[in-house]
Amino acid sequence: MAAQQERPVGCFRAPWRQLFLAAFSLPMFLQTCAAADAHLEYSVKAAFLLNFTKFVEWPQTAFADPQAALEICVSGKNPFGSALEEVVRGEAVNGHTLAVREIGQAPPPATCKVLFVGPDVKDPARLLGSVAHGVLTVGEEERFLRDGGMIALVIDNRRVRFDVNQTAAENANLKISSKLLSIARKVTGQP
Amino acid sequence: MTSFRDIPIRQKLIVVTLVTAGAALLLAGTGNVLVDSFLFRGYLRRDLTVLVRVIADHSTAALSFNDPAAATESLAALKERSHVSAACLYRSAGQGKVASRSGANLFAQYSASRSFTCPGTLDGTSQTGRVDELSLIQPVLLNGRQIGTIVLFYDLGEVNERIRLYGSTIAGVFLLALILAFLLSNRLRAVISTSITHLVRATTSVAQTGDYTVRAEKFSGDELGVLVDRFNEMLNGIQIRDEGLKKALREVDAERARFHFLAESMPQKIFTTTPAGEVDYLNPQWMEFSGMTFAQMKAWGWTQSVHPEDLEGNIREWKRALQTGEPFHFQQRFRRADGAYRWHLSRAHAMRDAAGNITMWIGSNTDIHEQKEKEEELRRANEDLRQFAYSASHDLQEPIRNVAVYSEIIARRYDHALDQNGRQFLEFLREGGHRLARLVDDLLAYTRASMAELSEHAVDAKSAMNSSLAVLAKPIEEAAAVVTADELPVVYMGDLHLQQVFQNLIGNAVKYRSGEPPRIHISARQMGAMWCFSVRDNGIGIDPQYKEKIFGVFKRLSYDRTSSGTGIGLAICQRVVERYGGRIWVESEPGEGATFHFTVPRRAEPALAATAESSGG
Repeated sequence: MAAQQERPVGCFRAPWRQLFLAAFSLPMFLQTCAAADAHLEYSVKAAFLLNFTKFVEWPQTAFADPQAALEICVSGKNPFGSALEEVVRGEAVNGHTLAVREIGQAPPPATCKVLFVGPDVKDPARLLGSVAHGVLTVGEEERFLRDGGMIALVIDNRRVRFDVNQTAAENANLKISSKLLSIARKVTGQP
Repeated sequence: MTSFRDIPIRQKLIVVTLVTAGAALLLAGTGNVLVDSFLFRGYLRRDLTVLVRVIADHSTAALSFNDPAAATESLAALKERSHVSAACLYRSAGQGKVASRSGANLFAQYSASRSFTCPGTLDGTSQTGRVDELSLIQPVLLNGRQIGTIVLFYDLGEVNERIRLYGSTIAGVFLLALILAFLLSNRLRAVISTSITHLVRATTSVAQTGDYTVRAEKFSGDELGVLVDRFNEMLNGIQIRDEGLKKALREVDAERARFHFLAESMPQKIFTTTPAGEVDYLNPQWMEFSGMTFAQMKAWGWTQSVHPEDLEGNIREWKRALQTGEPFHFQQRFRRADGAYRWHLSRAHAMRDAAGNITMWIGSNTDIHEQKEKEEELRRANEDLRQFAYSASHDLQEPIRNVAVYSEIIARRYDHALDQNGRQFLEFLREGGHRLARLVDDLLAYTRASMAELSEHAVDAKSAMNSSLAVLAKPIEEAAAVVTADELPVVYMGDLHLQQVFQNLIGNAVKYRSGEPPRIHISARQMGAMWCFSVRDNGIGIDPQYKEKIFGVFKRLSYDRTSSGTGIGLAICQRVVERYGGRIWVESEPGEGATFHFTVPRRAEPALAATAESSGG
C-alpha cells in the first residue's frame, strides 16, 4: 500500500501535490481516483494479497521445510501486471520468502500457499474443489465465497474491501487472525 | 503583643503540641502526596504503555489494509481512559525498508477534546509543547517491520486532581488532628502544668504571707517532682532557720528583759556605754539619784553630776580604760538631786565578741559614802591612838628611868639600912621598873612601826637578817642556838622594818625553845607576785587555837619566868608586813616546833598602790 503512495500515480502527479495528498486521508485519494484507474485497483489488491499472508497462519505441515518459499499462485490471466511481483519482491513471512507464480488454467501445484483466482477463470468452484489443504484462496466478487473461496476482494463504496469465509479457512486448516477479521467487510461462517 | 517566652506554660505546652503535631502531619501529608503523585506518574505511564502496545497491535491490520475507519474505531476505545487526551496513528512511508518518522502521515486519530488536532506528519520535533501533557511514542510493528507509529498524549490533570484530593483530605485530617491535639494537650498539659501551677501558688503564698509551713504538692516523679521536693526541702530549711531565729529573738528579748529587771532591781546605778564610751543606758536609779533625765545624762552628760575635784581624774581613768580595754575602777563623788555629793565606787568592764572586739562597756556605781565616812573616822581614831601611844610612851620613859635609876641608887647606897623585906621590896621595884622600861620601849617600837615612812629602796634580806643576828648575839649564844639560812633575795621595803621582823621572829624562836638547843633556819621562795620568807624552829610550838591570837598586842602565851618578853613583837611584825601589802602566819604543832611565814611583794610599786587602795576603800 505504501508503495502506491510513493509512486506518482493517479490523478495528481506533481510533487507538490504529494504534500497536499499527505494532508488528506488515503481513502479520499482512493475514492477520487480508484475508479478512474483500474491499474491502481490491482495495485491495491496486490498489496492486499501480500498483507493477507501476514495475518494468516499456515499449519506446520504446509511447508516442506522452514526455508521453503511461500508462493502466491495466480490462476487465469494475471490482472496485476507487474504490480504483484513488485510488491512481493524481497518480502518474507515467518522466514518464508514470497514468490509469485502464474499457473494459467492449470491446477495449482503443491508449492502454492496462496491461490488468487483471477476474474477470467471459467469455473472457480471446480478449481477450488481441486485445491489441497493449507492453501489460502483469494478471489473477487461476493460469489467467490459461495463457490467455496476463503477471501473475496470487493469494491465497496469505491474502496477495496474484502469478505471472509471463515468456515472454508478452518476446513483448510488455516487460522485467520482476528485483526484481519475485524477489518473485514463481512465474515461468514463465524462460530 | 506578648512574646511566646512570656505566655503561661500551659499555653506554651498547647502551642508546642500543636506546632509539633501540625509539622509532623504537614510533612507526612506532603510527603505522601509527593510520593503518591510520583508513583502515580510511573504507574500511569506503565499502564498507558501497555495500552498503547495493545492498540498498536490491533492497528496492524487496519494499517495494512488501509482501513482508517477501523483504526479510528480502535483508537476510540481510549475514550474509557479519562486521562488520555489524544492519540495519533501515523502510517510509515515507504514499504518500511527504511522506515523514518519524517515520512509518516497521519492515518487515524482520537482526541478527547475537540480543540486538539494531531499534527499531519510525524517528525522528531513535533512534540507537544504543553507542560501538563506527556506523550508516549509506540512503533506499530508487523512481522518485525515498522508500519506505523502511535503517539499517545496524556495529561497529568488526573495527577493534579489527585494532589488536590489528597491535599484536601490531608488538610481535613490536619484540621481534625489539630483539634484532637488541642483537646488531648488540654488534658495532657495538666500532667505538667498542674505541678507548676501548684508550685507557683506555693511560692506566691510563701512570698506573700511569710508562712514557711506551706508545702508544695508533688504530682509526678519527674524533674518537676524533684523540683517540688527540693523546694519543700528548702522551705523546710528556711522554716527551721526561721523558727531558730524567732526563738533566738525571744531569748534575746528575755535576756534583755532579765537584764533590765536585774539592772532596775539592784541598788547600784548601772550603766552601759558604746565602745567609744558614750553612755547609752542608765537604770532608773541614776535618774532617781541625780534628779536629771536620761536625755541630760546620756553620752557624756553624766559628767555634769561629777564633783569638780574628781572629774579630771575620772575622765583620765575612763579614757585610759577605753583605750586599753582594761577594767575601769575609780572612786568619785556624784551630786545628788538635793545638791549633796556622795562617794561612789565606779567599775566598768568591756564586753567583747568572739573576735575579741569590744562591743560595749557595762558598769556600776556603788554608793560607798557611809563606808567612806566610817573609814575616815576610823583612820582618824587610829591616828589619834598612835599619837597618844607615842607621846605617852615617850613621856613615860623619863619617869620610868627615874624609878629605875633611883631604885638602883637606893639599892647601892642604902642596902645596909634596909632589912630583908626592904631589900626584897626594892628588888620588886627594880624589876618592875625594868619591865616597865622594856614595855615602853616595845610600845615605842610598835608605834614607830606603824608610823614610820614606808621605804621603797632595795634591801638585801641577807644583810637585814645578819643585822638582826648581831643584835640577838647574846641570847643566841646563851641558848647555844644554831641559826642557818638559804640564799635570800633583794626586796623592796625599809631596811629597819625588815630587820625588825627578822629580829622578832628569830628572837621568839630562841626564846620559846624546848629542852634542846634551838635550831633555826631561814629560807625564801617565790609565791606568785610575792616573796615568801620562812623562819623555822624546833621550839615548843604553838597550839593551833592560838594561831591567830598570837599576833595581837600583849598576847603572850607562856608566862613562865624563863621566857621574858612584852608580847608585842609579833604584833609589830604583823603591822610591818601588812603595811607592805604582805601577810604573816604560822604553821605549827605543839612540841613540833613552829614555822613563821611572811610575804613581801617582789616589786614595791603595786603593793604600795594596793595598800593605798585598801586603806582608802
